[in-house]
Amino acid sequence: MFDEKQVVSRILIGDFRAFESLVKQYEHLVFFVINRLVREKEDQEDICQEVFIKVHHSLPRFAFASRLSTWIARIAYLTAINHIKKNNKHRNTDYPADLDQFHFTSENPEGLLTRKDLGQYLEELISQMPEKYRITITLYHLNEFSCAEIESITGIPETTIKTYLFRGRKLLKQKIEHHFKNQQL
Amino acid sequence: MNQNDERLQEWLDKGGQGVFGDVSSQDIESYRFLFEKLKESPSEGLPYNFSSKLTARLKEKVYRKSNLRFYISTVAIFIVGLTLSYGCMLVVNQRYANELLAAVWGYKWVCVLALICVLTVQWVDNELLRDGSQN
Repeated sequence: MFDEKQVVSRILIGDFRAFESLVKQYEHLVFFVINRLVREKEDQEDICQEVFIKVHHSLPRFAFASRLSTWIARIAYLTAINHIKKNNKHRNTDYPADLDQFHFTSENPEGLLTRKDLGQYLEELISQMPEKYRITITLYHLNEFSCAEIESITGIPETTIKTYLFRGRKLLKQKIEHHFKNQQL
Repeated sequence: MNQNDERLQEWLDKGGQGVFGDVSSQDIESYRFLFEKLKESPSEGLPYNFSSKLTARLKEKVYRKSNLRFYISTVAIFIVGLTLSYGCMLVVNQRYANELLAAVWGYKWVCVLALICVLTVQWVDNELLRDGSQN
């Protein structure tokens, strides 16, 4: 059983084994966030490392005001957003200014290729969505955070999170339905 | 349509137990399939030795930082020690103080070399100890 208070206090007195157990416990959480937000596969491992180094550095300031997982997820989210901002300075995103108006663009050849595996197709669709849709879907479904926790991680209001979740899932469901219909033909 | 979607999503969020009326079975199945797929972890992940590699990297970083702190404080203590000695001498006897200053100034390179030697021995000792603990 992972006792976060005990592990944190051991890390604070310089126990590296305790830190290794913390990394093992939360590496999936951090990877899920980074994997969904950062497109560059070659940078993902480095960013995950950066997240845990920040966690180690900031741990003395962690006051258990939230769950440790929520706090680590926030660090992962902010690190990923910083990376995106740095890398996308010269890149144009074609998302609408009002994110509620987001729709998938028409099929591209890559999308058609990945359709063979529905799981992969779904990943492809999620990767086309705006960051805010991607992060809410990931934190909610993959990391199993509540909407209130997602609010404290991302700073997006809870009602907006619910809207993004609803719209994101509806868009994905429409695409899946379309895929099912095409397969039946 | 939007309302049906909303109700259906809420129902599946709560576990999707029992029967859900008024909505086509295809809608239910599509959403159920989507909810299941969204819970699946991505096929790729971090390398199996990620945690040990990262811990080793961090250990090295912390070790270097504490070493640097030690060397800086040694040099600072040496300089403060000399200044204090000069200050004390100045209070007791100004002539002795000036002689001490002249002696230190005359052998300044010997002092610097001695300090470098002490730090080098300390560094080599640390490295040997670290190699021993790693093997």
